[in-house]
Amino acid sequence: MQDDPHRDRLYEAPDDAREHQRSRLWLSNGVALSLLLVAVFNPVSLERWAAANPPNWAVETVRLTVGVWSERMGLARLDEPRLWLEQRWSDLKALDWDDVEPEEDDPPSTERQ
Amino acid sequence: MLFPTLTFGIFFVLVLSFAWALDRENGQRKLLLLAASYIFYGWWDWRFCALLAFSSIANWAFGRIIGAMPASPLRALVIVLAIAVNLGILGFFKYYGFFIENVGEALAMIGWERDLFLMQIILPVGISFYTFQGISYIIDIKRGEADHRASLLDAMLYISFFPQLVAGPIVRAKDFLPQLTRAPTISRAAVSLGVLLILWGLFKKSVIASEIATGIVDPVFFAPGEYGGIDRLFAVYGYAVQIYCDFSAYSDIAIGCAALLGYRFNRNFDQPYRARSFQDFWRRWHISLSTWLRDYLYKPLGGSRGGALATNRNLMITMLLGGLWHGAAWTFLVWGLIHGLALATERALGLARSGRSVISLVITFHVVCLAWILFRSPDFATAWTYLTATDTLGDPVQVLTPFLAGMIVLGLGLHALPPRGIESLAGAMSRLRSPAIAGMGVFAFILIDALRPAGVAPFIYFQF
Repeated sequence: MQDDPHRDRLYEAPDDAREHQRSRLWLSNGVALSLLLVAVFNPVSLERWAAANPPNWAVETVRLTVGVWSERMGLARLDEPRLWLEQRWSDLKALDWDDVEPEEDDPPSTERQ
Repeated sequence: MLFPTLTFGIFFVLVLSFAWALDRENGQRKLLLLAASYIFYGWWDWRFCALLAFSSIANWAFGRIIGAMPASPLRALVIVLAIAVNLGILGFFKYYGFFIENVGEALAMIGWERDLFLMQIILPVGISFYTFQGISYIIDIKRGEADHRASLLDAMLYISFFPQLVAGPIVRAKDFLPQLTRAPTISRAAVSLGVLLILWGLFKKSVIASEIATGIVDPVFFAPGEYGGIDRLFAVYGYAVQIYCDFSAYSDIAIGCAALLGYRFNRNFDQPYRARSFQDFWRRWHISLSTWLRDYLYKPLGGSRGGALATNRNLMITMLLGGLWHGAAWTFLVWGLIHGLALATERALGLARSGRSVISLVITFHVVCLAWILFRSPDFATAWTYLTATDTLGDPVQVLTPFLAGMIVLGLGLHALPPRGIESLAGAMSRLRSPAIAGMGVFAFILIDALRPAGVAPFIYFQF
């Protein structure tokens, strides 16, 4: 393979089969855990995906299951960090130039006390 | 199937799982990846899978013939034929309508109007990319840099491998085919890099590019005459950021997905707005296209070997065709012309070699932005209005908000990050345990998902 400046050294693949197996297991564990965490903490994205797809048995099952889960998360107030973030982000988007301009100081009084 | 969607996420996790389950069976693994690539491509329009298969099989057959023949005029003829087939497919689907329309107008101008055979042809997504990969396959075999004995499966997978199929990076046969000869192995560093590139790409596309596109770029470029100077100025800065964040995001996700599957693609972007000359810009922007044009067009034309006049001619031809590659419109041709002229001017004045200051960075960036106006405008009239609507210069700001200004500054600010920051971070992450990596990755993903607007626009480069 040609040596070029756009190549990243991180791609160097291990020649050792055991090292490869360990990395593969590391990847598999990471993927499985990530899927679990996303399903638990981000059911909204699954709900949106199900709502955007044409309804069928599988999509409806996902939508209903995730809907119930999402509701339970809401009752336990575990969705609050996400809602807080979305609200702050919406507030930022809604800012106008008048909101960020520094307020003018009151003009100094010229009247002698 | 768009990258930043859950549909692709589910698809990719399935492919990743099956691919690594088959890591001792390289042939079956490649077959799985080929099937996945055709499902991915067929998701847009299954009819074009036949075109993709034809292109792949034709290139493989030509490669076999060319590799088996000794150097002779007949071999040269077969090479020309192979390239003509590739360019013929591209020309028909991408340029037929443009060509007929312009011929019709030219005939009308000389009073010789004719009813020409005009057809509405659907542009197959990614055709410009896989056609260029097909040409790379033929020329690399001709040069002896790629093995002509590659199996049909390898050749088909090279041309249709799903991460890079529809919007690049344009992978070279000599780089990719050797990676298919044995089942790939993987390192934790490569996995970390892949995950980081995917998350980074999702952030750039879903948050920065999407917000800027819908907030300022699309409305201002739709009717530039109705907006004031500040809106127009920031819309073009915004487009510079949008196209970078959009296209580099696609490349990052593609490179990341390939890395997770055990394959290596070269970097396609390298903080392009840090460029202090046009030569430097083209070493940083869409690197796989610029190096493709350099190696398969500019150098075969003679490169810089034939004196100043010939060099500038080669440069202009390369940049004009590079512009036309982006789309069948005169605006793209003029975009290429501006870049060609800028490169030729730099060369003539020796600017590319001289000391580069921040001033040269600012000038380069603004000339690039000027060219982006033509690139983004649907026609010359819109571009002209954009540049000359002086009666609206003093109009109040209508669409630029502090948030959008911040997004544009953020997009430009990405160029101030350490050039190999992601690689350094990936190296550090690879030393962590998988639960820690999963936790960090999911946290970043949820953050991006919460910030991004609903729905995802297709990537800009899908239309090319």
